[in-house]
Amino acid sequence: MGEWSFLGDFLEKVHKHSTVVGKVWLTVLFIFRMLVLGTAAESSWGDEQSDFMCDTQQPGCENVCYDKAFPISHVRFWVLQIIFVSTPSLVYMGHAMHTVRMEEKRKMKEAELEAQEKKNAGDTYYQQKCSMVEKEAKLSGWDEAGGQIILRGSLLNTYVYSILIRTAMEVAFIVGQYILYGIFLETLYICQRAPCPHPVNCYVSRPTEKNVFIVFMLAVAVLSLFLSLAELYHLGWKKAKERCSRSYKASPSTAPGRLESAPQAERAQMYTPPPDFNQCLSSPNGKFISPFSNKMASQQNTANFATERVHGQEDAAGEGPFIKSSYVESPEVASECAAPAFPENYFNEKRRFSKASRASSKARSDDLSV
Amino acid sequence: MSWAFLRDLLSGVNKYSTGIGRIWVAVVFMFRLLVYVAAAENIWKHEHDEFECNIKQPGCENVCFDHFFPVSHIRLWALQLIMVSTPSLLVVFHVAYRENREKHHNQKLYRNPGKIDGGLLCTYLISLILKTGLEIAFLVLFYKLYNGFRIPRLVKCDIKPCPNTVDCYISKPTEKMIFLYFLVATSCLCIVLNLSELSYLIFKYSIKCYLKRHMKKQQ
Repeated sequence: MGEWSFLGDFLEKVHKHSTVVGKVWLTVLFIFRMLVLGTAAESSWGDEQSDFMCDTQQPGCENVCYDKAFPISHVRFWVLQIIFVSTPSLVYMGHAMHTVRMEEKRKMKEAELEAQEKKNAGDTYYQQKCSMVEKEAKLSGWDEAGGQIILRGSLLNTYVYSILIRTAMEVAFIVGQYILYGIFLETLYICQRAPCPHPVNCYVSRPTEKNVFIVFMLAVAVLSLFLSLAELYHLGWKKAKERCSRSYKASPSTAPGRLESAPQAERAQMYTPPPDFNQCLSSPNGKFISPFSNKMASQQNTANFATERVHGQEDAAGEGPFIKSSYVESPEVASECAAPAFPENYFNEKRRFSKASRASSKARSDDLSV
Repeated sequence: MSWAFLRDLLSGVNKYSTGIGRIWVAVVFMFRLLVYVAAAENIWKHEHDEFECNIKQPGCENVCFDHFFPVSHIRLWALQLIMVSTPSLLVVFHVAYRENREKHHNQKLYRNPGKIDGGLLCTYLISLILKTGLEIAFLVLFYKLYNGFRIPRLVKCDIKPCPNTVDCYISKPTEKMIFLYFLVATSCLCIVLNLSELSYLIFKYSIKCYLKRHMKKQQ
């Protein structure tokens, strides 16, 4: 069981940055697959070859018959299944970490550049400001500071692809197991292979106990497959709903949003429009849902709040009722040595404006926000 | 067998690696170390007991097993894992040396002790070359020692004290072969990753050097 701690540590990080369904899937993986495999199944298959008995005295016959009956043992097959099914999540995690790192580097470079400029200008006040900004850039590491990774653009695509590949792997392994062994293990295996002199009866050890575990692991694999499909459906449906609502509301109210964000057009073009997720409505780092009706008010707030900072995302405002919005920095603010640090109660103030947060109280604060 | 030490070591290496280096560490953990510990070890556990020869002559099985498996696959696999992970330690030692030097002189000698430039770049490149070399060496060793990557079901043995040519049967040959191919595939993947990291670093730093020289000339 200790060997699974290698994978367990990796997957803990994935657990932090998954959707609700993703977390359930990971829990199923940990408890019902890894734990069961490591403790119960291993000991059940421990004597699989030593107690595989063939009705013959011919030396070597048992060896070749066991090899024919079990080209790959169930336990090893399940180990490979768990590894291959977990790998896409790790790829997603790697991408997310990479994105976080790039984001932090970019912010630090910006802060450095601004500090450099102000240093040249000899303006100590701005130097202080810039150093604060620099510190903040360091602190904005998303997972360390308790923030969340926001799923949008290429990161969302990676997440979707990882679930797709995971689903494909599950199906492949379930089908593979069926092709190799069928569903149940028979007690008797009739073997005819050199050097066995004639068809020989061979008896599998503990067939009933093995069948119990085979059925259990098959059921858990089907459950995992179902969870993956549910997550895909959830992601796809929300995205389609968001697209519908956006195309329906392609209205004048979006124009001001576009105008304001025009200077950010370059950055905006890098990112695809975020899908709507109503999972994480209030978060530790203060991002919150901006209901559509509040868009004008929130744009006023953008101008008023000199502490708004760009997170490198395009305008989230006006994207629909379910988007986590991180406000786009207004152009005037960008030209100075950017925003000073957030005020102490910034996050609390932010939460006050969120109407939609009242709608759902079920999402947990550390759920992945999309 | 406790591989936690190697795991902790490689986690330290992760800090000072490039992106491709991190992928390499993930591949080594997931596809090699984990598969070895969780699956492969158990396949080869009783290989000697399950090795059977069609003879009652005492000692014949022993000498035949020894002849066909001078070093067991699984032990070679473990050695390969250890040897291939060790060159990364050079980088960790170099960074520790840099940090020590800074402490000793009580001043900032390097902009960032962990950044891959100058001497650390050389160390990193050497570690990559060593890793690739060791991977290739072990693959060649596997190939030469076992006449390819096949594991036959039946081997014929006529070494004393076996009185005649005796049929000997290897246990679980198919399963062993599956995992052997897995080992070869992951080794090749790691070689490809190391070579691409090597070329990436050389390319990146030669461009940097060229640009520096170009700017100096302009000045």
